[in-house]
Amino acid sequence: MLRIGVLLPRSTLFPALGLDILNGIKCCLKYYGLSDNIKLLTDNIGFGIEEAEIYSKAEKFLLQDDADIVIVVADLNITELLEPLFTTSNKIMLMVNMGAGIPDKWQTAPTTIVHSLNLSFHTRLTGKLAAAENENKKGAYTLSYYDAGYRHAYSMMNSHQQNGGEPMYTHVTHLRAEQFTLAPLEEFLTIHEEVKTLLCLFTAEMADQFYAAIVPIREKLQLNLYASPMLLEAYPHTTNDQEVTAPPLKGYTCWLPELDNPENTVYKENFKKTANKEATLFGMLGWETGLILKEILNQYQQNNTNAAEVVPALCKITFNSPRGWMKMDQGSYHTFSPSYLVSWSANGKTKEVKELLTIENEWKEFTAEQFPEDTSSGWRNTYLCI
Amino acid sequence: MSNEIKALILCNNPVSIPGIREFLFYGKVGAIAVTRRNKEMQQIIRSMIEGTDVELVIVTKKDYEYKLLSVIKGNNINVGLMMTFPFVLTEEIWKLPEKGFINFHYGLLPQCRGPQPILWHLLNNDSEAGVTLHKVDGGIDTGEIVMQERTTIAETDTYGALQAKLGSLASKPAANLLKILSFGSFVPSSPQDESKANYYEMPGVKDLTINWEEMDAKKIIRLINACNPWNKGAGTTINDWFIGITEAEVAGEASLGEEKAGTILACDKEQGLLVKTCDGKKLKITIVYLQEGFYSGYRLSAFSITPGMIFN
Repeated sequence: MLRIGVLLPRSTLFPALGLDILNGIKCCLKYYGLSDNIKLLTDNIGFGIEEAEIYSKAEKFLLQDDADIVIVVADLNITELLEPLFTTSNKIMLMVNMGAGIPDKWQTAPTTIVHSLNLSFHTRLTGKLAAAENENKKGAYTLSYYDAGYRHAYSMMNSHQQNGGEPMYTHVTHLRAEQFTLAPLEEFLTIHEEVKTLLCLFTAEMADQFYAAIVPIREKLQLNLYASPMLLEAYPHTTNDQEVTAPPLKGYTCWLPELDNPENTVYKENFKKTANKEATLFGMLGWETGLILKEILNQYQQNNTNAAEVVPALCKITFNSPRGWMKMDQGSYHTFSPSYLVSWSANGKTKEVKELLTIENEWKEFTAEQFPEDTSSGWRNTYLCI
Repeated sequence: MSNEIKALILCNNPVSIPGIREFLFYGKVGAIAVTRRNKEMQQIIRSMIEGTDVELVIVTKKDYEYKLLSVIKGNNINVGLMMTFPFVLTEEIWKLPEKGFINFHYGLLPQCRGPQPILWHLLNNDSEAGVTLHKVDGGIDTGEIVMQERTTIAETDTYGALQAKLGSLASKPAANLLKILSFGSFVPSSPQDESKANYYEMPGVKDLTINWEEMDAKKIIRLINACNPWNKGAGTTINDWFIGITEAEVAGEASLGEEKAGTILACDKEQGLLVKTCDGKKLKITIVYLQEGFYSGYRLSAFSITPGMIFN
């Protein structure tokens, strides 16, 4: 039996985030009949900012609880600190997060796997799209104060500029929801009518506020809007096909409930049974984590119990994922999956979903780039865990 | 941080400054030892520790054992950090701090052991260099590895540039080591793979001299970069006159001809100093070092160096 330690975060933005991931893992293992082969040990690591707590809990899993694998649901900045612990003990560390970061270096330790929603990758694709689709290259960016503190923001803006986009204005909201306003952005865009491209990065409550505020501005100025994955996730919807107050926009994302593939169907059915609610993005991330555990167990059952050999062996597998498929990059041990271009028409009347077919090349380009070595700042807590 | 850390840092080269800064920033340094000969490092360290309680210990080959033992005991030092230190530690010293000694080796282990890893990474035409933090044991660079950070060697990297790059690269593992020392109940480490181990001595004259018959243009440029700035350039001779080549670049293909590798193809202001290499390239030597000083390559013409003459 494999003993798996799971360090879960807390989130006030998405209170069910940790539980959804755990339920995703559990229902995947149950569906594949592995519940009796894998024992999950869980602990809480708050918002993922207390390095001492995370380190000592990971160490406890390895030394006292004799865990074979530790799943750490936290951002990349904690990875390098934990790696020596896992390399030395030859145990697998499975980092799970939203992928709102970009590693300083793609190089990784021999027993570390990073599994994420790849948000920075998708915002990069959206930035590129915005530059490619508009002859007028002038663009503006609008971001929540919170989202601006993660590298997915850099990824979107940098990609837009690298592909010919000309940055004219960056609008960052206040931190507090009660101070939310798009007025400075509207003022700029009204004066500079030639700027028609607007790249938008919001999540949770501020995504709702953004949608409510942007509709009249977009209509007045005829803007082309491009959205981040979490903003697409928050797109207003109704259950009875009524029109919603929302602008037309588009952007790349990693997963949609309606994706038509067998793994997505079983995920949604089983998650609903286990969690007693509709499938979520975080539950999907957990389900995929379960798929990785399943393959690790498979390796162990074939007598490959050396973690440093198990991890590269996983790079040879194409996983059936609710996203369609999932692979592990053999250079970095980061997972990646398809990207879907979502295009909403005005008021949520129609939604078009198109898979990007050049994903492997895009991923290669993404991982070939290094994050600038200059000093940078950002939030230390795990994305969405605040 | 949960475990209270008080470090003794041993250093002798500015490459260690970014790493030292991390430990000083968190107030975890009890003392820093520098060799008496190295006045530059003494001055740098003095300015870094000004206004702190950190003790500066000046040591020589004769007194370092006594002084280090005494500072470890007297300052309740519980971890030692070696960041370029020329003297070998005795077992009594490296075993004395509760958490032992960790060496910052500015090269990749186990493949590049020895006192000059930066130089050997360049001389060996390696594509990568790095910083390895390992536990100090009885051997030279043989202890268990705690962590390693890698970086790509650019074609234009000189010894000085790579040294600066590695110094700055060391700050992140230094910060992580400090956290591990503070948060963990032990310092995780893995034995080195002895089958991949190489030990490199200090380079000899032959290692730093251009062999025109055997070295292609790329290797010559690497050697020149490896000798810049500390050796003022890679050595070569012409008419029994020794000069250093400090900077050079490939300037295209040499025309087909019978000239031997090392033959001067041009030496004038317009074309510069061009030399044929064994792989048929024109090597443009832009800066040379003579006892009289540094000169543009073509200015060797003022010393009666003319096309057709051969470097050997």
